[in-house]
Amino acid sequence: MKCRDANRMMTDSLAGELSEQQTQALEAHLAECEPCRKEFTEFKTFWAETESALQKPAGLLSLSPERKKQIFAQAENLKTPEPSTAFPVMFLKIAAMIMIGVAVIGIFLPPLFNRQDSSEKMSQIKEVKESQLQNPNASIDALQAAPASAAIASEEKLPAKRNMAIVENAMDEKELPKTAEKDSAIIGVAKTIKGRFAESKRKADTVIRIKAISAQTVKKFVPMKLEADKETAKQLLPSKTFNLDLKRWNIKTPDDLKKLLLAKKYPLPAEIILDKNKNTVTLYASSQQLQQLEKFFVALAEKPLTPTLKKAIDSNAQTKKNQ
Amino acid sequence: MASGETLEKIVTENEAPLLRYAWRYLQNESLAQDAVQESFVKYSQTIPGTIFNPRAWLYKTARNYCLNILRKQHRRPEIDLEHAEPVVAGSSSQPDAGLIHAENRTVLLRCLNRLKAKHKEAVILKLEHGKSYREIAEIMNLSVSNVGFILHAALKELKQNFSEEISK
Repeated sequence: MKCRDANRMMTDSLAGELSEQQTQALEAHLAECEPCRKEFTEFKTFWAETESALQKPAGLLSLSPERKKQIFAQAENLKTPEPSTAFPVMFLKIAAMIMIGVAVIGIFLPPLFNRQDSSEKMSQIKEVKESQLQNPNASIDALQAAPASAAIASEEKLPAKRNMAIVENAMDEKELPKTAEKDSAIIGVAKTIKGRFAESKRKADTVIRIKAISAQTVKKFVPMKLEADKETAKQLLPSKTFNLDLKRWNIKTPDDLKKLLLAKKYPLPAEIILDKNKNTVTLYASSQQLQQLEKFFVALAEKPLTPTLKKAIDSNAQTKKNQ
Repeated sequence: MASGETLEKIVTENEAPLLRYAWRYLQNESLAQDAVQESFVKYSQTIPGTIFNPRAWLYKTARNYCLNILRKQHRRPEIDLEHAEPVVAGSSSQPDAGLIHAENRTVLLRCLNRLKAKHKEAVILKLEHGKSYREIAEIMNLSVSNVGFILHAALKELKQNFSEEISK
């Protein structure tokens, strides 16, 4: 070993990073080489002195008790699951996100789609509920599979057990059957979404009624939609009345206003009541939605027609003429 | 939790050295506590099995936090040894009597403070915190062999500077 190599190894030796073989080699060199031995002794002393200079104070530093509390509290709140359960939880999170997304679409787009007779639907939902409770996971797969199965809707109703069979079958085939049976099957799925949706505290008071899916909805990859029960909405949701020149904006029915709101990407309220004599609009919606809608009405009152609105109004008038 | 150890154990074992390390950078007790608290919180949020050496990981996280603070304060992003030592409540501000004379200690720390930032930090992590080359490499984003080289060069330079200062 050369003195230069030995010198380089001195640091590693004192740092405890040398292998047994390397240590022996260094010791062998030091035994033979007087200058290196002297250098190593000096270096060892200097190392110890530097360590001593950087010595810790007598006591130990510690975090304040409040900070420790915060650390443990945050760790408790954000506790990640054990590896064995990580996948299912992640899967459920994704499923929940899909369901919330669909629920939101369902609330904002209710008037655009066909409606079934309410009493029939509710009885059908009631039937599906029991089966759904027995196998709630089936609905999640069916929900994911649903967009792939654009098909014709039908008024045909099926018994609850048959519905579940369709949903369960869809789990394997990753696609719902392309028949009229799909409508009924999806009601079951929608029912679960309703259940999940109602669990959230924010929306707990909003009773959601599920509407059956239409063929157009499926084609638009919106497998189902939910509609707030209008009567219940009136009781539970806050309302606000806005002044609006209905004639100027060519608004004759609530649907006309909804189209305007959609064109401007505003949230749709659960219920709209027009008063043509007073030129006012009463809206039932969540307080957050009402805040957004207020901006819309202020904008309408203050600003002239924008091209987008003009287009929306024109197309609306044109459609009416054609009809 | 990233390893089998409980968070409580990790906190108890590492809070003192981490605070000292963060203090070396920030020279401020409150900021050092922020850095260490943030490191423990981040650690508690990590995915299980992704951190093999929690101690090195905590140092690295605290270091990044400190460097960010220093950059925000437009200060040089390096350890500062010019200022006073971190003081522990209820204990003497002076370190224990050791192998080195108090005057020499001041000179040595001054010499150490003049080293390049990387060299200074390698010496601190090795001689003050007793970290292995592998841990220092992880904390400072270096290769293990580079750590050995840096530490050797740093100590050689420090020794020479110290000898010159003492002989003046």
